[in-house]
Amino acid sequence: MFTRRSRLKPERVREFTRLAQHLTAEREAATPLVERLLRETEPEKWPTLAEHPDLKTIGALERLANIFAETLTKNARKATAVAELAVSVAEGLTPGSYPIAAISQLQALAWKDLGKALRFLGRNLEAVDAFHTAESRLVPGLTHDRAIVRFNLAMSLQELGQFDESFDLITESRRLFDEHGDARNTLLCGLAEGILLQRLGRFREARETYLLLLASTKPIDQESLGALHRAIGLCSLDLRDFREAELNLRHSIALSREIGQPLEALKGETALGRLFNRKGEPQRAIEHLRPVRRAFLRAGLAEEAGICGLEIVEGLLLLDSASPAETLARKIVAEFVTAGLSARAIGALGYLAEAIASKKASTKLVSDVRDYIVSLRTSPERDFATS
Amino acid sequence: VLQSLAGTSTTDLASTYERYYEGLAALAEKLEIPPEEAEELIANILISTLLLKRPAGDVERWLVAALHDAARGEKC
Repeated sequence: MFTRRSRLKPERVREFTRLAQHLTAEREAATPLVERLLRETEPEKWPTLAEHPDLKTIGALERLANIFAETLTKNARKATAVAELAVSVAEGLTPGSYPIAAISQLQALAWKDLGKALRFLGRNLEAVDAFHTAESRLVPGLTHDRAIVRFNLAMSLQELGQFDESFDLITESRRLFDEHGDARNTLLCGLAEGILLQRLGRFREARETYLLLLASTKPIDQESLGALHRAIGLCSLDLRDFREAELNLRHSIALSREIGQPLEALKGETALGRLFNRKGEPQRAIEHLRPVRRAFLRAGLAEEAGICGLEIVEGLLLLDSASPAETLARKIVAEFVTAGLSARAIGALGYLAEAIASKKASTKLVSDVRDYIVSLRTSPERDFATS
Repeated sequence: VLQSLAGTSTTDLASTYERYYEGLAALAEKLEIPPEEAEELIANILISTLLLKRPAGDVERWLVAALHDAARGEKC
């Protein structure tokens, strides 16, 4: 009888078993090997390592990907160099050295990591190119990788102001992650969707998105739960639903403390200070925020201390205390200079200090400067423009 | 998945592949994926999922999702 079912080919089984056996040994050898090569080679000479025969393995590429993930938030330039090396190694793999699906996946993930590094450096146009190259490497069947690449592409498109395209990609990726039962990435997509809606000023829809995630029956780790409550709190703050805002911000702070993330708790405290300002309680805001700012400074986090300081500046302006507001704004400028932070951020802060001195500053200008400084984390080349 | 494959004999690895292959081939037939495409597609999915990605959760759900999506024309 004629059948439409595909037949198992013995050579495929051999290919699978051979790779499984090789991989165990490769992964064991890769950790010490990759770390030694990176340690013993000057970073500017890392590109030459792409020709090293021992690096041309799946194990070595997986190790490079792990190093990239561990390094990205600590040292983006080093992470970029690692990603560039991984791309060169993956692209240099000899055809036939591994099954095509393995080579395809390794090349795509190396390009995806390079895209992430470029996005982190604010080079979003180049990041988009890297993500498109990543996708072009994927052979049919590697759906989960495609969703990962497209989710990352969505993040860069968002930075480039292409919100509709970004939204569609996030929605599609989320569906795919959900179908795979990948709860963590499904949640990340939900969070990204909410953040995008917040950026578009659609705070009610953003809050609905977060609340649906919270109501989901799927397990949510404590860290994500804290992030969700803070996001709901911030949306509620913009919706002037102060009761919900305070409830969620306090919940988020408590969760961050519970899981030993004091800096995240301090960020929650900063948002709580903003809430007091919005509620028309600037004195309470200032008293609440001063110890928070000191804690950030003790931790050496000049940028977070500055953002918190700007909430105090706003409170002082609400109290018509322009002189201490100007003094504090200038102090924040000095802290940014000492810490070697972005010249653009320093320029915007200087502009604010001058505006306060000439009695032209409003609380709106303070929030514009604060939002601008935060936006420089993802778009470091952006110019300051106040409305 | 890796842990279950590491150190296992060639025979066991082969039977793992064959077991998953048969299930996916039956699904591919239901999804009306042409046999010549299905064979390569399933090989890609099995190598990528079982050997490289090694999901911590429900592997079968993962494999089925990958095949379903491929059947939808890799629209992601």
